[in-house]
Formats: sequence, structure tokens, C-alpha cells
Amino acid sequence: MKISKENYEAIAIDYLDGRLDKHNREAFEAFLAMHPEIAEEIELLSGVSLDLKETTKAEVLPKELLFKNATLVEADGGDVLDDICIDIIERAYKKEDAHRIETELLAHNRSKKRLETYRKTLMVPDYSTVFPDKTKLFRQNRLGLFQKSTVRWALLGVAASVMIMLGIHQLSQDEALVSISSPQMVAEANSHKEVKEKASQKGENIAGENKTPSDAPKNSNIAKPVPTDEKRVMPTKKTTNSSHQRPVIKIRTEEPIVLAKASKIEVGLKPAKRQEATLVSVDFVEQDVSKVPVPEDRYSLSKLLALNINKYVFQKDPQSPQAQTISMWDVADLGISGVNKVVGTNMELERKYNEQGEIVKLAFYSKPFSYEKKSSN
Amino acid sequence: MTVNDYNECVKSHADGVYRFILKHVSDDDLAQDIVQESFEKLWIKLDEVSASKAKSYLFTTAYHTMIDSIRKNKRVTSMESIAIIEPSHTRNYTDLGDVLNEGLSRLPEVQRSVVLLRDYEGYSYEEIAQITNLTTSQVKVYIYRGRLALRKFIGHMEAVI
Repeated sequence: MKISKENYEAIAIDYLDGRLDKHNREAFEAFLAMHPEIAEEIELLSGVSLDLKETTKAEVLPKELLFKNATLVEADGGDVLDDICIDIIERAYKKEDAHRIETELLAHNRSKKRLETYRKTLMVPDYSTVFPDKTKLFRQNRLGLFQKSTVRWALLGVAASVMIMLGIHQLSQDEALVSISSPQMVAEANSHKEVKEKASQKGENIAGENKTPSDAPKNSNIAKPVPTDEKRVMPTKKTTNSSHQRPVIKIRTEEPIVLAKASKIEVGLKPAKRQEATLVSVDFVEQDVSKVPVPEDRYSLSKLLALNINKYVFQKDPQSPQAQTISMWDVADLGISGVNKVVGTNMELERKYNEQGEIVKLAFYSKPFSYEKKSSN
Repeated sequence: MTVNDYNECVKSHADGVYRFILKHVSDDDLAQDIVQESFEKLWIKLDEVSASKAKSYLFTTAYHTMIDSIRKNKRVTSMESIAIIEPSHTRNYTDLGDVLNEGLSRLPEVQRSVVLLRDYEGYSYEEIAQITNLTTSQVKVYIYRGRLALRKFIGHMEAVI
């Protein structure tokens, strides 16, 4: 057996207990001769062991504390003295026994030092460390669930739901419409029969379709064709030349909306039930629409929403290209997160994409039900 | 458990749970999140948890939430590995508290947890076993190994200093 500083402690226990054979005992004593500091430790340990054995005879110590099996000692790298010290600080002894054993330990330098070191391992809480803001944790009543951060999620959930509905509604529109908001305007528009006929003859386009300026009505001498091929530039609000009546015309398009000044707008009514009209021409105050100053964030409602949601909810850099757009899926995920947070459900919306990045399968899971659908794409 | 009981729990135990978690994760925000999540779970289970068991429920929930969080962040190599902690001689320790904290941070998660629950909160072996989902014997062994490792760490550092 090769004795080293790493394994001598286990051998020392056998040495002190007289369990080593002659050969190993001589080897160990030679090792001690080479390491006087260890020899001193063994001498001290010898004293402790003897004292403890005497104490055991007095039936103060439980036997298992003295004779913990050797394998445990070796595996953990500790010894009997470790066991006893740990039991002392762990308050494993009866009070009177603990006092007597502690007195024994303190009587010898090595065991005293060991016990003191063990006492230092006792962790004392730092009471200056406290939870920073307990108001986050306090509750008033059950409605407290809907306070503060939770309420934000709830609002986001509601907002997301509304946006989903708006998005679906918007996508359901097959074509852009020009609608007239008042019955008076319908009557006025009806009186412009000539305009209406011209529009229908020329097959003039409604806003939002891609037509070139050359397709504009040639007989409209004051009107400028609608630059419908220019993205993000569409008139939305207009007053007529009528001196006594200034009705508002609402134009709903699939294109981004911009507010621009126009001095005249002509519309032709479709023979439809829903007061739909065809946009004939628009006379802009600024001839070059591109020069009309428009705040950047008002180019479109979708961009405005995308910027704000990405900035405040998804914490994206508003200058980054990713922050300029938001998909309905992002909004749907947001809504579901909000509902989960509020209601405590575990709903999931899962999409599977093909290599082209198209959604091929859609699945919705929740505790009460699940839904799966293959995409038409 | 009533709403008042719950709010008393916040007053009495929020700091303790926070200190316990903070010793493990060393990340203020993460520790706060874990404490908040634990109290939210307690709030949801308000009708099921009695006031006398609330503290134990909180520590149990916080402990498991923390373990999940740590595992997600892949900071744990082995929950039951035997502590082999060696002092860093290149680092300056100003006092025993620093040495002890350093030694504690080098213990395996489970050993650190049982030692902290024992020393910080004074839990019995049985209570610690309940919180950490271990047996009482395992708790004793982990505490033994944890203290042994800490003692050796401190001993080394004292010799160096």
C-alpha cells in the first residue's frame, strides 16, 4: 500500500485502532517520520480517539457516531472527527451529551480547530437583502389577479383579439371601396349622372387598383388622375366644391392610407345597394402628391401599430427593419399569451411551415379542446 | 387560507424566499421573477393551502421553479455530483463571509439548497426532505458532504491567507 498525503487519513484510523498488520504499520510510521506535521496530527488524533473511546464506555456517545463505517468515511473524504463536529453543529446530540463532547473536542488543538472551522460553515442570512418591491406581491382580493402586470397582459389580449378581428375583416374585402357617408351625398352624387356615365363607360377604376395615369378620364379637364400606382399615396378625405355642403367621403382601400389635401373629388356611383361609388378623379391642392408632407408614423395604420407593438411589447429596436412590420400571427401569439396569463390556461397556437416558409398546418391546443387544420397553401 | 393570511406570508416570507433563491442564481431579476411566480402560485392555490403550510409551500414551489429555471439555462451539470471544491488563489477574499460565499457557490445545487434551508430557515431534515423531494437520509448525507466540503474550503483558504 502506497501511503500519501491524499490517503493517509483513512490509514491513520486503522493505525490508531491497531488494525494495521506489521508491514503496513511500519510503512505508515516511516511515512510519519518523513512528514512530522502529519505525525503531530496523528498524535493529537490519538488523544481524541482515546478520550472518545473512554467516553463511549461511559455510554455518553452513541456507538455509531464513533464507528461510522469506513467506506462512508473514505467516500466522503471525512473522518470520525468530521462526523462528530458536524453532529455537534447540527445539534444531533442531546444537550448534556453535546456539552460533554464539545468539552472533549476543545481540549485538543486539532479537534478544537476542526470544530471552530465547522462553526464557520454555518450560514448566517444577510438580513439587509430583501425583496425589492413587495407591493408586487400583495393582493387585495381575488380581483388582485388583474392588477398591474396582469392587467397589461389582459389589455394586450383584448387588443390582440380586436386586431385579429380587424385583420380578418380587412382581409375579407375583395376590393377597395369608396363609400359615401351621408344620404345627402348620395343624392348629390346621383345628380352627377354625367360623371357617372363617363366613369362607367371608361371603366374607371376605384382606389387601390393598379392603374396607370393614362387610364384616367381624358375629359376631366380640371381633375388630375389618381396616382393609384404610387404606393402609400392615396387621398382619403376631401371636401367638394359645394358652397353650402361639405360632406365627408370615406375611402377604404387595401393600400396604406395617407392624408393629403385635395380641392376637388369626383365620384361615380355604382348601381349597387351599398352606396358604393367609383372614384373618378381627385384635384389635389399640391399637384405633386409626393411633395405633400406626411408624418412618417402616419403613413399607414398597420405600420403605426407594428412600430408600437414591436417597440413596447416585443422590445424590438424601432429603427430595425423587423420593427416595421408585424404579422397577424405575432398578434395572435400575443393575444394567446395574454389570455393564458390572465385565465391561467395553457393554450398554444402552433404552425408548421414548409421549405418556402408557407404555413402548411395550423393547430390550436387548449385543455378543453384542440383544433387542427391543413392550410390551403 | 385567507387573503390576509396570504398578505402576512408576503410580509413574513418574501425576503427569506428571495434570499434563498438569490444565493443560488446570483441574478436579482431572475430571483425576483421566481419569488413572484411562487407567490402567484400560492395565490392561485389560496383555497387549498392552509396558513400553517404556506411557508413550506412557498419554499417548495420556489425551489422547484428555480431548479427548472437553472436547468433551462443549462447551468447545472449534475445535481448529485460530489463536491470537489478547490479555492482560487488568484482571487482576493476580504473576509470569511466572502470565502464562505465562494465555497457555497461551488457546491452542487442540491448540497447548497439543503445547507441553506438548514442554516437560513432552520428547517428539520424531514422538512428539507419534503421541500427538496429527497429522503431524510439523503438530506443528512448532502448536508454532511456540503459541510465537509465547506470546512475543507475554508481550511485551505485560512492556510493561504
